[in-house]
Amino acid sequence: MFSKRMILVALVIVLVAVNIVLLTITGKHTQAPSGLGRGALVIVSPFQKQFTAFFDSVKDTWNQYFFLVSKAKENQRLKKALGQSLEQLNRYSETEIANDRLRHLIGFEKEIPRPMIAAQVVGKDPSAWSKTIIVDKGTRDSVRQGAPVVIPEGIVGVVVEASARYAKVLLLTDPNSAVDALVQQTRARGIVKGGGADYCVFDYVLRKHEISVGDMVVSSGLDGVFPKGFRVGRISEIVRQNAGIFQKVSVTPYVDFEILEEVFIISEPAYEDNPRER
Amino acid sequence: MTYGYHLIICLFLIIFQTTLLTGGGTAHLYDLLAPFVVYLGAYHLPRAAIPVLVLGGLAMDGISGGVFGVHLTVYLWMYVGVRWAIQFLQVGNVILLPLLVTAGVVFESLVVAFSAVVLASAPWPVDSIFPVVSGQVMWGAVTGPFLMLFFIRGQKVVDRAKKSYYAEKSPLRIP
Repeated sequence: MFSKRMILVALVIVLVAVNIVLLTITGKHTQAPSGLGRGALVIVSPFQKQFTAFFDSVKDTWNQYFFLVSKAKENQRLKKALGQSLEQLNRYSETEIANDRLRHLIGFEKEIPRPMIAAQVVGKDPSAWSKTIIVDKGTRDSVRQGAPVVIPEGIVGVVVEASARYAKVLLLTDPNSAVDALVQQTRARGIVKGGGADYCVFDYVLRKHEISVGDMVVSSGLDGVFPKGFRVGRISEIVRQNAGIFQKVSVTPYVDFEILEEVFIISEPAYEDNPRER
Repeated sequence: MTYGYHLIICLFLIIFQTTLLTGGGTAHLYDLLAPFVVYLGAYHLPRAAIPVLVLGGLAMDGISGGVFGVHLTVYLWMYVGVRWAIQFLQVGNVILLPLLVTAGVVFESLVVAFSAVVLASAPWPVDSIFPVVSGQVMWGAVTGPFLMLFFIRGQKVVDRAKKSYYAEKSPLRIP
C-alpha cells in the first residue's frame, strides 16, 4: 500500500516532530535533565582547567617580560587610584561604624556576613546564544545551585549547575538571568534581565520615577538570591513611550564578561551564633 | 585506534573553543564540531561515528547554557544529512567538499538560533538571528574546509600508524 520511500519520509517527519517536542521540554529548564550536564562538567572541565592554566602562564610570561614599560605606567596610575580609594575607604569605614551604631540604636538586626569562595574561570560557553562560564569550585567547596557570583566591579551571575569540583554560572547578560534591582539615587525599583548581547534591560521601572542616563543600578536584595547593594550596572539608555506605565531602560553591566578570570561565589550565611535561625 | 582518534579530536575541539576562542567576537564563533561531523558523515560508517557524535553532543550540551539536547540533535541530523548527500555528491571534489562543510555550519547555526529564539524559556529577540548566523556562516565557510583537510590528514597518519603497528605484530612478518 505504501512505498518504501513514503514510509521513510513519514518516519523522518515523526522523528523531527518528536525531536522538537523533546527540545521544547528541555528548553523550559536551565538545568540539564538527570544530571547529564554535571557529567559533562566532570569529564570536560579538568581538561579545560589545565588548558586555561597553561595559556594563562604563557600570557603571564608575555605580559611580564614584554610589556614592562606599559606595566610601569599602569602601576603608577593604579598607585594613584589606590591612594584615592584608601581615602574613600576610610570615609566609608567611618560611615559604616556610624551606621552600625544607629542600627543598634533603633533596634535593627545585625546583618549576617556571607562567606565568599574565590574561583577561577576555566571555560566559557562557545555558543553565541547562551552566556555561561565554568568555574573550578563545586559542591565539595560548598558551592550550591542558586549561589550568587560577584566580583568587586559588580554582579557576574548565578550558579545553575554544580558538580563536585566544577560549577556552571549563568551570566547576568543571558536572557534567562534576572536580578531584582533599584536605582541607587532615586530608589526606583525594577528587574534587570539579560539582553543577550553585552547589555541588560531594566524592566518594570515606573514612568513616574525620574531616572537618568549614567545612574548606578544596584541589587535590591528582594529576590532572595543577591545580597542588597551589589553593583549591577549603569543606565545607558532610557525610552519613555507615550503609552504604558513602564519606561524602557537599558543597563550596561559594570563587569566586563570578556575578560573574566576570577570570581567570588557567595555561599550560605553562617548562623554560628544562633543555630535556630537556620 | 580510529575511535581514539575521533574522541581525542572531539575533546580537543570542545576544549579549544571553550577556553581559547572565547575572547572577543564570540558571536561569530561557529561550532568547530560542525566540520568534524561533516567529516565523519563523509568518511565514516555509523558504527564508527555515532558513539563519538553522542558523546560530543552530550558534552557540548552539558557545557553550554542553551537548550539541552540541541547540539546532540544537530550532530545526529547533520550526520544523517551528509550520509544522504554523499549518495549523489562526490566527496573528494574540491568544490563540493567546502560546500558541504558550509551547508553543515549553516544548518547548525540555524537550528541553534531557532532553539534560542523559539524553544528557550527566555527567548532571544528574532532580529538578533541575522547578524549572528551570517557571521558564523562566513567564518565557517572560510575556515571550515581547512579544518576538514586537517581531519582527513590526521586520519591518514593514524591509518598509516595502525598499518605499521599490525605489520610489526603480524606473525607472518618477514625479518
